[in-house]
Amino acid sequence: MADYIIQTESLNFQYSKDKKVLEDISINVPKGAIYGFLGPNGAGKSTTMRLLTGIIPEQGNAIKLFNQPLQEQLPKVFAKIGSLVESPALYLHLSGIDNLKYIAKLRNIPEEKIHETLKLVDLSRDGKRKAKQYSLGMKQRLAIAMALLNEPELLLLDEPVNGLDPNGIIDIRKLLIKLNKENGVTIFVSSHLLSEIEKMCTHVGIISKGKLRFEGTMQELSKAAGLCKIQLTIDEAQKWQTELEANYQNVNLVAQNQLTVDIGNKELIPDFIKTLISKNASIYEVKILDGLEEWFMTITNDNHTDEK
Amino acid sequence: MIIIPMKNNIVNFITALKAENIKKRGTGFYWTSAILGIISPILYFIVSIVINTEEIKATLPFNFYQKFIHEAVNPFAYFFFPLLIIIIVSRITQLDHKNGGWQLMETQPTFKFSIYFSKFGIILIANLISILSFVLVSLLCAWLLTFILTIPKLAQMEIPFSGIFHIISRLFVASLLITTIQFIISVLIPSFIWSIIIGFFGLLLTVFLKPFDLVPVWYPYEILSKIAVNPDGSDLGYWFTFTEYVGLTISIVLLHIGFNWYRHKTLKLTFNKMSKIISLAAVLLVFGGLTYWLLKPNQMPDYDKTVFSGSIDSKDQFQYVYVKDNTVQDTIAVIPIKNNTFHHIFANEVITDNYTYVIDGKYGGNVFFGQKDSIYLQGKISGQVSEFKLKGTRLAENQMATNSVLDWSMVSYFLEENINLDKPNIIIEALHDEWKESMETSNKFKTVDNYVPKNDYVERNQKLITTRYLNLWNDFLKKRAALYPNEETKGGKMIAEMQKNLSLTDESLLSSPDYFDYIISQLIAKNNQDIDDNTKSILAITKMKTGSFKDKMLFWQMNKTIEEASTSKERNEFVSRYITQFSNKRYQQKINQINNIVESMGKGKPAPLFEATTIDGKKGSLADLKGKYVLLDVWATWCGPCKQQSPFFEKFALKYKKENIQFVALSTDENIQKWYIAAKSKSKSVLQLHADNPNSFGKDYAVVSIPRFILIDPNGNFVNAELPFPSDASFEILLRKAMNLPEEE
Repeated sequence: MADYIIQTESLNFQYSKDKKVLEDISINVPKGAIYGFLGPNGAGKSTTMRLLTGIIPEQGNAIKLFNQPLQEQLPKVFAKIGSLVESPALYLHLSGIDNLKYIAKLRNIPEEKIHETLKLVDLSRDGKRKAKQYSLGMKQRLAIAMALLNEPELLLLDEPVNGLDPNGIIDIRKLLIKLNKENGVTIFVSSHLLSEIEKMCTHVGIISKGKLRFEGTMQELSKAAGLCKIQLTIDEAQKWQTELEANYQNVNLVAQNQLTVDIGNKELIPDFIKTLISKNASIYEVKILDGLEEWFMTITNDNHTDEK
Repeated sequence: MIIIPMKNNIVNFITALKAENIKKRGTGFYWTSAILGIISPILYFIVSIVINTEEIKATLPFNFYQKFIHEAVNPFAYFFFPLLIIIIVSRITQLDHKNGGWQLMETQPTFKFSIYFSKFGIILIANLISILSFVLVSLLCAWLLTFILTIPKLAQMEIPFSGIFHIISRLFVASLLITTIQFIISVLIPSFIWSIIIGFFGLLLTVFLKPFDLVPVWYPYEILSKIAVNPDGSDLGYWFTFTEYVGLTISIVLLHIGFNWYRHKTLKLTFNKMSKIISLAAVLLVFGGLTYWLLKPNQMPDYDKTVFSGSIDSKDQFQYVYVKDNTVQDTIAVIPIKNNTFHHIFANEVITDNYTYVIDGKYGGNVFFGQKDSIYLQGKISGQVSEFKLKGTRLAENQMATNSVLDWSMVSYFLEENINLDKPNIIIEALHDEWKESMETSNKFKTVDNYVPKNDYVERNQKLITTRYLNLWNDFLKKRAALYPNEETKGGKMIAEMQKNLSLTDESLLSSPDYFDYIISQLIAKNNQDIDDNTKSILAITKMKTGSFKDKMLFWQMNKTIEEASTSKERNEFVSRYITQFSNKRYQQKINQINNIVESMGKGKPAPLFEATTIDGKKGSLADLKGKYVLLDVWATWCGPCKQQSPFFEKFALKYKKENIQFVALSTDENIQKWYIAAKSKSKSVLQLHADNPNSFGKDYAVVSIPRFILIDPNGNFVNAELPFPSDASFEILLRKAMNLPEEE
């Protein structure tokens, strides 16, 4: 059995009796993973995040961190965890350094670590300024620094790149990958942007409407999303639609001379075109519609509950 | 809950406390505490300088620093300190509400207990800083005052360390409950406005409800201000008063609930498990039970003997305490004082009643006690000033009597101004309401240690209240009878309810002249003969059954008639006619005695001689002034009203300089030195004398109060032993008449 850092076993959560916010969520985050927790706004990402950190009390006993039930380890388990939950929790009346000093005091960390960490998030020059004078991106970076201060084994980050400019996003991404590679930090990061997750995660879990729709490695993800959708610009589209429907799924007429077709795999495209041409079709354009993004949209779609 | 070694918990808590200290950087948190602490002493310092009159009043010895703190604590305990608590509690919790700090803290390896109570701890430190800065600046201001003001000779100037420590600890404990409540509210409600509103509302509510006596003793926003009311604290020598303990126990219960509420986020989750409910029940049982026990009023148990003892704190030595009954002024005990302490066990039964105690004929007061009571009199005497506290089994009763103020009565005002005499219903209703309210308030008195008067006193007190209002009713009936002779005035149910409360044969109430008045009014109500009320009542009393009730009634009535009689002949005839009616010889003797005194000071009776000293140190006597009218002004340097009358007296002395009259100001001061200085500055037209033996003078001339003005004719006989004050217009008229001077225009 793999060594899991985070494990939930059919995690349920509800605020009121009739409305379940989370239903049967089973997450498995292996040690050393960068786990992307993906889902649209309102899917239950933040609730899961808050449950994992114990900020809202669990209803039941489904969460295990470091192979131990979470509830039995609060709050000592945070000695091994760095977390950033929701928009940056900082004391705006304090300077950047004092914010870190506060965390250092609470966690018994020597003060030398502070400058090191500030440098890590590129805030060395602004350490003495009050946090209220910081830009949104600087605040976010300071909050990340506060989460990193204790060299955690596990990082829980809720939308960490929110509000950062493209350069900032890249810097943070690089930093997280570096921490993962060099220190073996397990990272659990939530986001509503697939592109973000795609670029750094090793594992991914997709949540929608309170249910986990997919969980696996990135490879498994592209395999699962392997079906390929293409768009054809073709004469007599209506006639071809009826003909193609015999062999392919989801043949849709999108315009007078445009069709979309699902053809299992990218590799099948050349043969597909050859066949059509052999049947004297006048093809003007063949275009692959984005696979993963489309797929993501589909599985997070409302009436798609059987997919898992 | 996980069990983690206690030591870990403490380390965790201290770490959190230190971290909180970092968090409040730059907020000026402790400075606010210190500044709000020093406002009151500085205000009081300025006020002391501004209103300083340089007049040295006679006082008891007191500690200068302690007094300053006790005065300055008023605005601090009433306003600045609660204000500070409301503000700082809101501020420290807002630091986390505004910045998402609660979540940040909860994702640190810090126990929620440490998070919650480290914040609370910081607030308590702030409270302590405020109290300490209050005390230190008070001491400093008091010290500065010694350079600016003239400090009374009797002021003690050493720093009262134990008193300071006492008030610091009391302020700290008394502030716990308001701090707790504000803290719980501020943690639970993220918006700062609510805790501020609730805090101010709580403070203001005290002000609104106070006049109606509706503030319960445990009211959180008032516990602090009680220190200003009672800066000395417990009467019984406890370090804290019961309200301070109540604040502490309620705080513990509330902190238990508040912390668990915070820990489990919702009230539902706070108490959803058996174990949680059991722990709540345990806390409620122990500390709720303690609170209940503390709030339950106590009554002093009876003692196995009847004792009157005490001590006097004074530089002088005293000889005897006299205990007298309030009706006949009979002395029921003469207790020798040794080294300013005394102890007396009554062998005979003592009827529970009001008595008067007198120390060496000069100092004294009222005391309520009876069989199986042990009374301890704690006195302080310095010169003319004295202060007495009555402790022991009748502590609450005697305190209630000293503190009682006669309620202002609307009906009494109506009757005085003759308003609403035509509308009996309005009067009856108002009378009934006032009576009800007075009855209710009379039940509410408790001492600072939660002792209430015993039932016999409460009942007696309520009967006297009923007497007072029924007397008003009788006054009203009299006015009605005069104004509307043909209309009958009926009291109806309301008056009947009051009358039902008051027996007509309660002898224990006869030490009160009010009750006597009431009985008389009931006795003579039906008598329509055309004779005066005094005659009516004496006739009614003679018809009563022989016994001590009748004796007392007769005694009051004869006393009154003797005082009001206009001629010696009329008085003596009256006395000899009715004195045989007494069943008890003691009353006969007393009446004869009273009659003799009045007789001896009647017009034409020789004025007793007395020895005195003039301002040049020569002997002076009344005998030296024979051949002249003598107008005596009996006074003393410590007597305020005497000083008021003195200029009027001197004015007449100048005006009648050429007449055959000598104006004499006779001082009864203990301290001849003080008299000497004061007398030197007086007008030369008045002969300044100092009585060599003020006590025997007081006895001979039956001096009850000063100033007293006495006119003696050229033969040394009384013309008038008690003239009105010179400021009164009738003074001069009587003077001229006595000297046969024509009336002025």
